Amino acid sequence: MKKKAEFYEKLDNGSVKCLLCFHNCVIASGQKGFCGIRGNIDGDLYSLGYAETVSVSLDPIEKKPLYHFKPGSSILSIAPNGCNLDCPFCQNYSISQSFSPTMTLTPEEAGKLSRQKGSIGISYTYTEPFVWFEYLMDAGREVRKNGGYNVIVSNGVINPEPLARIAPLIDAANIDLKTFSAEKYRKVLGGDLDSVLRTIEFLKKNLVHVEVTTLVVTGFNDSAEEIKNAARFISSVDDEIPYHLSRYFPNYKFNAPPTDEKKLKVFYEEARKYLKFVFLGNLYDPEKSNTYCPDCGNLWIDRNSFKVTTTGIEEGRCSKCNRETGFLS
Amino acid sequence: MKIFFLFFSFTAVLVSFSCSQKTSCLFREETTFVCMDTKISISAVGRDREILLEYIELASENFKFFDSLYGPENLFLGDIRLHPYSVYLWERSNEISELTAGAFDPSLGDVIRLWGDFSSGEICVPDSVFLDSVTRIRKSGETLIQNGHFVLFPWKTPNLGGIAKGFAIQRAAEIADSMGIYGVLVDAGGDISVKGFREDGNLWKIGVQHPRDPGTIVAVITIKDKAVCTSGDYQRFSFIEGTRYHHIIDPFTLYPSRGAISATVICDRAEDADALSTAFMILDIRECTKAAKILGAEFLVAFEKDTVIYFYASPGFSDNVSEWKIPYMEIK
Repeated sequence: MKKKAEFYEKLDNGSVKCLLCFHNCVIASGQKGFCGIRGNIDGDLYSLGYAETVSVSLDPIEKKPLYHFKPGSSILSIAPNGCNLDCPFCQNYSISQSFSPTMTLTPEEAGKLSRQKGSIGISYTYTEPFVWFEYLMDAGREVRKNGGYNVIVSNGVINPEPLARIAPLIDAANIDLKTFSAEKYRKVLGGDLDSVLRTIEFLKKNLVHVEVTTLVVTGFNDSAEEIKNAARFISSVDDEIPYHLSRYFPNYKFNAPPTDEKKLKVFYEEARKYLKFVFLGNLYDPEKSNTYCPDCGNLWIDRNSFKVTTTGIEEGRCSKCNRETGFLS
Repeated sequence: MKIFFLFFSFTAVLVSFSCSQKTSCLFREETTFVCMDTKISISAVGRDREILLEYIELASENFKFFDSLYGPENLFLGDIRLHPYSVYLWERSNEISELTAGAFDPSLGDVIRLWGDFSSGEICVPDSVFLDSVTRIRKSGETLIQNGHFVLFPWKTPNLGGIAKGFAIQRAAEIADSMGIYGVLVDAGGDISVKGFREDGNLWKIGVQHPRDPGTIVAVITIKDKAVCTSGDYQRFSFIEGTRYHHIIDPFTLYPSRGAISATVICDRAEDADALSTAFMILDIRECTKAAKILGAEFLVAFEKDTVIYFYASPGFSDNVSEWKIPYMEIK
């Protein structure tokens, strides 16, 4: 399906300028933008992948990863066939960077499906949901009508105006902070660090539940300095934002070995100096996947793989010291 | 508009009026404390000091109870089963919302949270595109009560701050009914409920403060068994780049209201007066008149034009006024 896009300018020569993200792609008639799913048809910009999803599956919310938003729940997950970055280590490159078969899921269908089989809503994930802007707006409203939550898992690269338009529909977000170097963002990933930082700040300020993930990639960002800078930035926004450090595995154009487990544990300790909740992902270490009360150390949520048990929280407070958890359980 | 309760010296009252034929040996007991984010004053008049003190204690407890539910943390939302007061306030709010064409909105919780804390002045102006998007989203659903608890719609989280204070003073005044008390005045930061008489046998007098000149009184109101509540842009506000941002949010724009600068409402029940005074900050005079008629309320609204303040009073407002200190216009 396709739908006329929002946020673009018509240029004199029949081209259009997409204003959704920092790329501001100028797209000639018949061509697509960087993300591969927004294209120029006869001088107008269209969302070509509108309502076309590469996957429909019921995931644990911890898989997003979101650890402090309805822990232990399941959420229906869908994804567009495109992305506005080109990370050489993309863990989902087959659906983000090349053409994949899709199925149509209209916003109305998405709304109805969102609350079935125990799902708490819809998670727009796997690839880059913001390039699906028009569908996000429409499906997001339908999900809300059905009493569901909208969750996005995104690289955070979007311009301020579209972000402000979509943000009120989002309940929770996991934003990737792939590196704290603007240069690496630009040169290696084709991205923009400022956009990402702005997105994290904006969502947090506007009452969206935010968690941040860094995929620690061997030879790309596996330095204590980078992790420290990222953790410091996150703590400047709010030191209770959960920060996930995920282990990378070779994929797409990268064949460096998987992230050194020992290094990850050092980074964990480094990030903990600035943040109250740090977690390791793609790695079996139950202790570093659990949530503990920052004040009294009481075990709040026990995570063993995807088996999640909330043990130390009663009515939104620590069962031992009565501290507010500050998140939806 | 903060309303002054005109304090008459207790001793002076005793000398001139005590043990007169009409009001033999009446005493007054008073207390003042901070609760619900404002100053609460309770005055009670009666023959038995012990009963008065007992009443004041009960009425004070009443405020602490309301503060625990409807204070800034909105803990009533966390109730596993909503308190009957919460259900009543929510339903009454929605009735008043309907009467005021949506100007009174009890579901601005998230929006107010977005603006920050007006009490401490720590506010930030939200992004205009974001607010615009929120306005549209708010139209697509409703927050409801089902099976004794709220089913929340995003951006429509209940905040009963615009009516709970009124209900708290109403309840505090009503406690006196069964205690044989001669007169009561309950004041919560300018929202006032009165019953009976003062110790001198006269009615309670309340001064309406000028919205731009705190030392000036606009009118002296004399009422019995009624409530008077005032909303204004001169409390809980901050100036950001020369613009006044105050705590009454217009549900249509989600920005602080830009209509009246103050609205005073006299009504039988304080929760109605409280909610209407908020709505009248937003509505135009014609709409105010319409809503006030249905609820049997009288009102005084102030508008500012080129730094001049104009006061407009509903036709029956003057009946409650013992003295006007400032020129006003009566609405035809």
